[in-house]
Amino acid sequence: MYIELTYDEDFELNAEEILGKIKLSKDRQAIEEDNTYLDSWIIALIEGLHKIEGNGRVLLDLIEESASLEMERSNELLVIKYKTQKVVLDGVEELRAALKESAQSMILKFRSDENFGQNNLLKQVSAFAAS
Amino acid sequence: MDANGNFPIEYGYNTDGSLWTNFNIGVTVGGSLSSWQRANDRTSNFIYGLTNTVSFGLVDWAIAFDRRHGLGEHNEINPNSSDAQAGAMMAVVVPGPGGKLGVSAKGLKHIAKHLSQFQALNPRATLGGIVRLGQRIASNSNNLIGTPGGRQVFQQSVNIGGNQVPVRVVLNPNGGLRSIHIRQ
Repeated sequence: MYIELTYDEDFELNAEEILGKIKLSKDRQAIEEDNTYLDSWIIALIEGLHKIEGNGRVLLDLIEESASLEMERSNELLVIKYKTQKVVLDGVEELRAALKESAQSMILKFRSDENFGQNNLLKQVSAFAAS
Repeated sequence: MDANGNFPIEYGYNTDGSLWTNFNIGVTVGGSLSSWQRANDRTSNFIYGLTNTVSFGLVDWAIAFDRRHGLGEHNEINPNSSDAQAGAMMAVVVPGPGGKLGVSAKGLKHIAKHLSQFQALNPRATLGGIVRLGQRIASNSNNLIGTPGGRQVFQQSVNIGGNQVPVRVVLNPNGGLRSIHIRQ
């Protein structure tokens, strides 16, 4: 699985509002959302990672989006659904690895930003990236 | 700001058809200066087609970038002129009087994504109207449903086009509007 973050180039990057496009993909399947808050997505996926380990199915509030993200464990597989899109992973660990990589890349992008400390979401992403 | 109290804004089009802007704006609000400037900026396509004006407390403007001027032209427009009433908008994060909530250009771009949800229920819904609705919902502390990650999340059932729907408003930790949408 690969999580691709594309930052909105219409604006200067700043840690306060991290807008852009996210794409979760594996093989020919993909979940995409444009013009969205990327830190919120990463936080929702981290939350899902923690919750799904003890549950068969969880609904995750993306806060700024009208639709929720859904995760479901089926045998050894992990299915992530959003609107009409879905991605099927080999398991929770595949999500963890991809998520850690994208969290680390986000922190690298913003760690020198003067607003880094003001963004609580980014601080949570940072804690996950370092875990 | 020029000698007449106007904010000169230059804009034109790159050879690939994308828009560039160049401006330097200072706004005095409540005794403090809030400045916002962009130079040789590539402005996104999202601004094309928007025809709303939005009020942001003391800052109330809509600034036009209009392709009618033609590709490759270099233009200067004044937000107070008739030229400035046609199209896209720029926003400044400035909380207005009476606690009126501001919205950044990024926030406005995201909110515009959800406009079609509202227009599906009421074709006359405008971005300016949605922003004002969001300001009203978030101004009532009874609507606060949570503060995840420092964001403030408000929600209220609203009648839109004869349909009662849950409208959610999300504020940044600094109080600026971050999202306004209908919950599914």
